[in-house]
Amino acid sequence: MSKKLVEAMADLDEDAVLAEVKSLKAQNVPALDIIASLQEGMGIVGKRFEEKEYFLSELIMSAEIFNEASQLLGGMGGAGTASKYGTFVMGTIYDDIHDIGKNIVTTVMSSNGFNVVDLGVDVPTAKYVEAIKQYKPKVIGISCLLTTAFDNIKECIQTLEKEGLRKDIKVLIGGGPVDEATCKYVGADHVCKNAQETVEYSKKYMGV
Amino acid sequence: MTPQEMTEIRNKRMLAALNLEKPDRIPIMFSGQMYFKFIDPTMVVADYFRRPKLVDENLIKAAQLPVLDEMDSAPSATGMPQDSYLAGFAAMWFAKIKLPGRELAEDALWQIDEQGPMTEEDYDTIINKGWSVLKQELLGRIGYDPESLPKPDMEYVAQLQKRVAELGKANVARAGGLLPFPTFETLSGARKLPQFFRDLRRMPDKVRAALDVMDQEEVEATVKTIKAVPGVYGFIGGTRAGCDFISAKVFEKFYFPYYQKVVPAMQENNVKTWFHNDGAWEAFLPYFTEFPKGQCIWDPDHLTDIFKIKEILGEKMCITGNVPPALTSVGTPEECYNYARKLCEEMGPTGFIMNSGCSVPPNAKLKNVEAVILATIGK
Repeated sequence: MSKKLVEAMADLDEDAVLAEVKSLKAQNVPALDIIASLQEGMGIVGKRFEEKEYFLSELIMSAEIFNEASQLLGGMGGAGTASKYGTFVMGTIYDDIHDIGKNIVTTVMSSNGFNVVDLGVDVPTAKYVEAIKQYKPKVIGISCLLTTAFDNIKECIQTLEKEGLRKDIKVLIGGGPVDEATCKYVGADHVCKNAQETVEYSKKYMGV
Repeated sequence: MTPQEMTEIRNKRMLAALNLEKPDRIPIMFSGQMYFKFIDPTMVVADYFRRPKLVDENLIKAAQLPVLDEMDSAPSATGMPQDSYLAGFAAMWFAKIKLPGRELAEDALWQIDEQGPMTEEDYDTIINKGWSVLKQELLGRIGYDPESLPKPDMEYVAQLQKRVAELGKANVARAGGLLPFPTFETLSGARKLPQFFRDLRRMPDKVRAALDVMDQEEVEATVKTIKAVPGVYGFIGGTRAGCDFISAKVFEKFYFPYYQKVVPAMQENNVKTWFHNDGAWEAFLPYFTEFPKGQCIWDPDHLTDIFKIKEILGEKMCITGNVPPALTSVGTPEECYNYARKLCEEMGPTGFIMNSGCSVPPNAKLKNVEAVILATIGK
């Protein structure tokens, strides 16, 4: 573990993070070890967010820095499988193109040791079905910033049921207008208020 | 009673609320742009752009439905080409608009597609040459050309205004139309949010220097606009500065100074400041106590605790809100009624306007909207 990289990541010192990743790579430190340091730093970012030392602006920034640093290592995939806890599939439901919340959640999940499959925005039901069949996640996340897309989430979850995919997975939903009533309406399992809650719920469900 | 007399009563009601006086009853501003669907449920959001005259017609009909006719605000039938209006709205963030029936599904809601055309070097252009110089350049970079957009048919607009006036609704005027956003918002749109947050951390002094230039120019633009289009209040939107988004330190240094400049400038021109702020703002509410009593209006969406706003700002400004969009779309009439009753009891009777928490959504149910209105008029 590189203390310097962990601290730079936790302090959101972008230049120092990138310089240290390059330096460690040049020293032939395995990509997985470098990723582990970045993840450790992201863990501290998450803790600071919980303690209200950091805010969403810092989480957004940490996601950007983490992704940029990961790219130097060929992306999370290129670093080999850094996943400790299994796969998490996530996207923003179709007819909704908002991406900030989804990006925060996918990065925080990734930095917490989940193998994340990010389906992007405006994701049709068929793409969720395909991803679930291919990656066999235990938990999926559906992001939604528009009340007009509630019926789309509902349709998506109903399709998962029809396809026989629903019983083995937990469906988490999140986004500005989403609340408990929405959760009940669309047939999801849980509403996550923030990225950290997604991590905690998923870890608990996966028995971590 | 004539429509003019009805308008007088409704205006008096609205002005009493805005001035923190006791109205005859709590005013209701619960108008929805999509109420045309209440008249013809087969219509979709894309019709808002494709069949604007039919939409206007149905909006006027919806405003006369039983119960909905108790609403004080006028229906959203403006006669203005909405695709032009929304393209202009998106351009305030240097973004493009995605429309239903064009880039999105027929019944989807229009959405802002951020472009982030501003570079790091552009901060120097703002500081050295002025914001207006860069602003024009940025609009060019995203291909925004207002001249190429559809223009309103002024004869039709005048006819429509006459028909809306015959409904006897309140016409307390909004000054200046669409006023500039706080400069923090504008700059974050120009850079795109993630990049802007990195700028705040990497080069805070340069960002502040650019904001100083922008603050001055945008306050001048606001004054010019409200002088050209006078009214009782000017509407300033905020969407990306809630207390879960940024720290108090960042809010104090980069966001709030704009309000400290624009509110007095509006007050000098006898225009109140209507803060429409999306997101959770609880921790920032105490900052707003510095503004004079009766000068401002606080209009949250459902994410800020409205009862906290009452506790901190209730003595100083009118509050509007905040029936959650999710409640009117997936809630029951009973839930909507109870929520609205609680608002009336705890927020009213003075200095409160019944409103939605941001817009009433296109999939709101008529029975739910009626429930909110009935709760407010005490039936």
